[in-house]
Amino acid sequence: MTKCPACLTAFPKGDWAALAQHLAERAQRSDAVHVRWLNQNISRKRIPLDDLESRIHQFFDLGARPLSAWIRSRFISKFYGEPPHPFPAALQHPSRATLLGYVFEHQHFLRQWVRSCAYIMARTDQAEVARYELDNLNTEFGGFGTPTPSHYELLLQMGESLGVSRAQILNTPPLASTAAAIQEWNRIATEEHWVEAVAGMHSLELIANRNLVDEGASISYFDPRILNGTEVNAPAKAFLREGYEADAGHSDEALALVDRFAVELDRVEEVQATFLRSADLFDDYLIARLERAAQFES
Amino acid sequence: MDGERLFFCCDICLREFRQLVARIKSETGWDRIDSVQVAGDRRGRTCLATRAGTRYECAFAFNAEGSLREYSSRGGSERPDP
Ligand SMILES: [Zn+2]
Repeated sequence: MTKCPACLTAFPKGDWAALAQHLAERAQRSDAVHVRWLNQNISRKRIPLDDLESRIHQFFDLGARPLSAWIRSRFISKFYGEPPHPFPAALQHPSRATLLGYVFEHQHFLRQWVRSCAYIMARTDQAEVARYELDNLNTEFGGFGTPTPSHYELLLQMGESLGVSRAQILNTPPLASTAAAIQEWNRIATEEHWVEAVAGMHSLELIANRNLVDEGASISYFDPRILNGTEVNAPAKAFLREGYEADAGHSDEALALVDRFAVELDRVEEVQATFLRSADLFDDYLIARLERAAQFES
Repeated sequence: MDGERLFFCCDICLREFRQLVARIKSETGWDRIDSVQVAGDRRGRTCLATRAGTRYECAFAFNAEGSLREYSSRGGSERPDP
């Protein structure tokens, strides 16, 4: 089936005309999510319906590429084009405020991460996928004891090192954009097919995938030189280094699973739409980190 | 501009525009604005506003809900008295 990248409503497979009509009709009614998708991906101006259909078809066309290559190039143009997304731009040489914005919003993201991965484990019939999620959960959330804590624990330690208590971090509710994104990610993990959830969640780990620079990204997630200098403190380096080292592997491995199972299960178009939806949510969520950071700017 | 009918693509755009106008008025002390020119994209925009031959420039960005999350005056010919 084809799915709407703004609301994940399903249409018959390859029925780009139906999708174009749906998008045009929602945009006509001024629905913000559909208008945004069309503005950012197809056209800022109203265009004739048959034009819209062919441009949407083109947008989703994989050509000779595997699905993962399409996902990577869409991700790069969304987050690492010219100019790049403002959060990685701020993270190149992060201020205390930027790192705290990261901490306060990301602890909520990671709690949802656990739920999403657990739903995938529960819903997949593929042992390989379950093992992948288990490994990911251990790195991100479980940890391996004091010498190698989880990414979640490293995040909290970074926050504490910047002068806020663990209790304050954990007791602060998420900003509206974070909460809305989390709610939708939870819905995707529980209601859409598990292979779509794998693509939707783990494609987001591309944000810290350092190989993207070789594939055309304008910048990396942060300037890797900050891991050596004295610009950020040791707990911040530990947190950033962990993502730097783990996320390339995490996203590459997940996308290899997506390539295989999306084709086997005949769900390529669904995966494309769910990935796009999740990337839009992630965009909003990264902005929420900056919005939180602004609260710590003196 | 005040009193003109404007077309907005969705309610978030409308909400954003209203906040921008309110903020410019409060920053400049103007009771009304003659024109606004907005440039840039969703990542960040700049605005040139005019009132009776006076210019005022600002930079701003919104969050996903359409709330103003960043705003800075870039000067222009007039600033309100402190
Ligand atoms: Zn839709």
